[in-house]
Amino acid sequence: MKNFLRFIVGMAAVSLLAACGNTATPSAGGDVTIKLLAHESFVVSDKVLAEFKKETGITVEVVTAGDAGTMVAGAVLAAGNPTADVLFGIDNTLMPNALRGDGIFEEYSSPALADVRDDVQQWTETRVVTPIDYADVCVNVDMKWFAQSGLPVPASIDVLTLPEYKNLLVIEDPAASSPGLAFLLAVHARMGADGEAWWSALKNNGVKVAASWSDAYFNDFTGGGGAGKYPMVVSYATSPVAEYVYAAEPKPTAVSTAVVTEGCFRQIEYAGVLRGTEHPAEARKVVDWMVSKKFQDEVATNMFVFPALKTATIPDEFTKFSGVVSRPGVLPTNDIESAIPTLLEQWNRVMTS
Amino acid sequence: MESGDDKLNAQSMKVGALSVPLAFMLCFGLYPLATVIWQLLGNSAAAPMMVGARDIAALGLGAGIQAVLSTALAVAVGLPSAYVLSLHSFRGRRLLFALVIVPFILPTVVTGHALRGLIGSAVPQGLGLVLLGHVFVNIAVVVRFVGSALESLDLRYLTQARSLGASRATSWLTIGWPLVRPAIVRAASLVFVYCFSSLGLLLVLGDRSTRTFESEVLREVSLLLDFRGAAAHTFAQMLVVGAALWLGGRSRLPSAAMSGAESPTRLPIGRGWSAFVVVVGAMYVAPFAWLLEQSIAVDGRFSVDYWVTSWTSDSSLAAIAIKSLGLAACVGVVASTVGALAAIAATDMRLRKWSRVVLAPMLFTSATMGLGMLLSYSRAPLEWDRALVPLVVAQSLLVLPIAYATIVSRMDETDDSMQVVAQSLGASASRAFFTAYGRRLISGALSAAGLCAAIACGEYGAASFLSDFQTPTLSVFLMRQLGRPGEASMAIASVIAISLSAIAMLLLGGFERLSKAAQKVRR
Amino acid sequence: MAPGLSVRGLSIGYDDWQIGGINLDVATGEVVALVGPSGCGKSTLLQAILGAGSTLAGTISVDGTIVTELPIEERGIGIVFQRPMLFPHLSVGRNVSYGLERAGVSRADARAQGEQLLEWVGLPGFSDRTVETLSGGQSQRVALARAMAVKPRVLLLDEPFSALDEDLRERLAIETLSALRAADVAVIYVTHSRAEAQAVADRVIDFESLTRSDD
Repeated sequence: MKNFLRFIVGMAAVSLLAACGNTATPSAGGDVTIKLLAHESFVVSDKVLAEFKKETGITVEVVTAGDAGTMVAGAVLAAGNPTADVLFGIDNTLMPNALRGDGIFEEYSSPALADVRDDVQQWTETRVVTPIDYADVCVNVDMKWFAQSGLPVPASIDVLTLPEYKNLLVIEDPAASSPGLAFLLAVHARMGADGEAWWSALKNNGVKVAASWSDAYFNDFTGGGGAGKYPMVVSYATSPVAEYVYAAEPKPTAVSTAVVTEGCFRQIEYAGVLRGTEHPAEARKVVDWMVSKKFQDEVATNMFVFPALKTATIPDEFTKFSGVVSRPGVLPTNDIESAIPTLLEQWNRVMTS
Repeated sequence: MESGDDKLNAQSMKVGALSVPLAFMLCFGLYPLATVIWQLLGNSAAAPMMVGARDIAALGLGAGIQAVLSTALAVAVGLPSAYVLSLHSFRGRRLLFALVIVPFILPTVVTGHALRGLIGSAVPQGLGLVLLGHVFVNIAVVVRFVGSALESLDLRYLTQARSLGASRATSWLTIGWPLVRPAIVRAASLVFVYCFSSLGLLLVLGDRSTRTFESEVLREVSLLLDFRGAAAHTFAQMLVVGAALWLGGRSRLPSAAMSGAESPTRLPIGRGWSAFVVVVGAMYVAPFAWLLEQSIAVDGRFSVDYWVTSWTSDSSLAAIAIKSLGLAACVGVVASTVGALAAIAATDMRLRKWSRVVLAPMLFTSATMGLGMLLSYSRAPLEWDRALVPLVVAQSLLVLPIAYATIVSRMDETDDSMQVVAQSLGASASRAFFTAYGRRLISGALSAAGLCAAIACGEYGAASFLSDFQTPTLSVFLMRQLGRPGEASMAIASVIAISLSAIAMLLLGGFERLSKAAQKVRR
Repeated sequence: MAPGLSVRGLSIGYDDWQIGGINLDVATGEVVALVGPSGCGKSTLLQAILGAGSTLAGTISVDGTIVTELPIEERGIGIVFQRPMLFPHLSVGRNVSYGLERAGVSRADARAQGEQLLEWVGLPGFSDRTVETLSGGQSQRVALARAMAVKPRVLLLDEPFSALDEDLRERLAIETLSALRAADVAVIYVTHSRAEAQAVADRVIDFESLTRSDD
């Protein structure tokens, strides 16, 4: 009996200690740990992390928090008393969420902004974020399927409503998937008020709606290795690069998928300093580091996106296999916030009618 | 007879036992939940609420119908499976028993992919496919709960009934069924809860008409920033799930019902049942075969390249697997210890309703809970620096209801008159308690530890929020692979999925063996 | 052949343990005590006679009818186990009348007969009690009433009182068996206590002697 009580008291003490004894251990010798809140697709090499620590004494601890939307929601809920110091991975469609009320960011954009490509500068006028990378969401096609069928590969999304492309496209639900939402915006950017009619025609032309990107790509797309039935899928302009990098050895000379480059939407990902951080100076350094050449040189290979920095090195396979989108869809900054709910509602109406 | 003093002692021991799970729940479960609800309701950046009571009711009705259908089907297939697996002996019984659990353990998205890959377009996405997936995953719950009850059901009850003139069927109907019914009700209420709050499987197998409060909360939080709507849906889910759990927990047999036959007598299997076993076996082997094919079919030929490179490369699967294994074992130990302490308290009928507080994690929507953990585990006063502790705590919390339910149902099979007998022979309250319950408590806790560890291996919700970035868990590693194109991605994902299943089955089997051994130990 | 139980050349057992050549006769109205150390196979023999265990060879007959191939419910053999095995979800009365209800007796008649049987075992007025409220001795008496309700030709008692304390056990054994002797049934009473066996039975048989030679 006594032993048992002692055991219980011990257990209770251990859990209390675990709960309370751990509050923010003070950092030794001026070394600071900066928490970097990122979405689940974030990748950085140990080498680059170690070099940064060596140069600055700052340890970057990556904290992942679900997909980008959930991560931003978490940051909004913790605004002012943040769970991390720096946030990475908010994209241009989510930016309005970050700016509501007092916003989640402190005012800071890196001096390196001047070296960032002009076509990814959207939202930088808010002075709270720095662009890190970008990727275009486009329709991808299975080249093998098109070669066999003899059907011409579409040059733009405009023709997808034609009868010869009936039952060939799978998209993601814009209400549940980030590329799905981007494609909705791509259509809006390209067609404006005619978008609703286009969606209606696309629905009648047998478009398939999948819940997520992986579902669409691996299960429904003929080029995804699965037993899919649809030779066209909404994915990224860089997806063919991944198809090459992750193809079975020996590497093929041509890639099995290609990109419809007219009718894309550019997703830009940013980093920013979270409002309320205890280490604003170090947090700023982390943002600077993410837009520095060392970090940027890796971005493409790590995450299959393009670096925002003009001078960053882009690996060969990217220049060779990625779809080249010369006229990406862009929505005016002040349009994004109001457009998204309206477009979603409209899309829902069309697809359920 | 039990003296007043002993009674007091026994109760203070149980109150003491209960304090740990209560503290655990309060600190790590209710505090994060309260934090997130507070923030959701009070956040100034939230979008205006977009749902009304009527929308919520309609959504609840749809999800409710889906969950009721799923539960009915899962019980309909699960009962005969439990019967044949628990009371008959045949070659491969243990393997099948373990296999049935695997879909329950794998991240639901992976199970969903495997099912879709397997079924192709034979069943279109929508309610039908969702039901199929739910049945596939949840048969495990029925097999575990009902199977355990059947194994400890003293078959002499049925022999007795037959000696009084009842046919085999009548004896099951009039005696077997009432004795097993509480376990069935308990299993059914759990299945209902899982299906009602389904997310991963629903997203992959459903269409836009199949929705749950979970999927709605996720959309509201991550896309619309409709925090008040999310809170409303969270509350609505708590209401429905709470009611289901309450109904499931009410049914309990008179304590003398289960004798606890110590080693169940298994009958040889008849021809009809053999056919059934083959069908069920095929159903569970098929998705594995599909995954295996994905992992070894390279450009139309067969090769083990992906297996070799995955297990030996720099960021090798081996390191991640070892870490996941350790992590999962920790979760198993923590969850089953806390669950066992709650189960000890549950043997006192006055404390039982308090002990059921540990079921609370089932009430929360996973998106809400994920955010709650993110908000509270990475800020004072619960802030942790170490990479692993928060994940162990979070996953332990999530599997705690399963640990508790497993142990409690095992202990309910004990005849507690033994405790009275032991006490009348002069044993102290705690000694008498352990004389009566000890063996079942320990074996139940070990069995729960195996199940919890196995689930922790494939758990993705909490892991996606709290996993260590440098060495992720197997489930996070798996989902990363599924997030990028390329033939190799799906192949490597399949390698990880199979490895994960194997590790989970090992954990399950290992602990199950310990549990069986603990049950046989003579005092 | 005399009325009662007759076992001829019976082999019982499992893969790794078998005994064969068992012969045993119990006449109607006779109480035979079967004595042997625990674990020697007494219970296995009872299971085989009852029809719940596998019979490898030999015949079992009840009142001259061979029942070896018949299912449990058609043999006319009743049993009381070591534990009372009262159905926990039924009242005491419903436990006793369970067999009568299966035989098609109306619920009211079954209840009336059940009450008589409860009186017979010294538990009048217990019909509406739950089984949880019974003491060990009471439980076994209910089990006995339940077994006798369907008027079996043969009754197997598998150490029915061994869980009770000594005084009670002896008293109950003597009471029970004298009551049974008056009923028209062949009784096998299994026990590991030779003294008890000699006190209550018409005939005491060593389990081990069963397989050695013909009776």
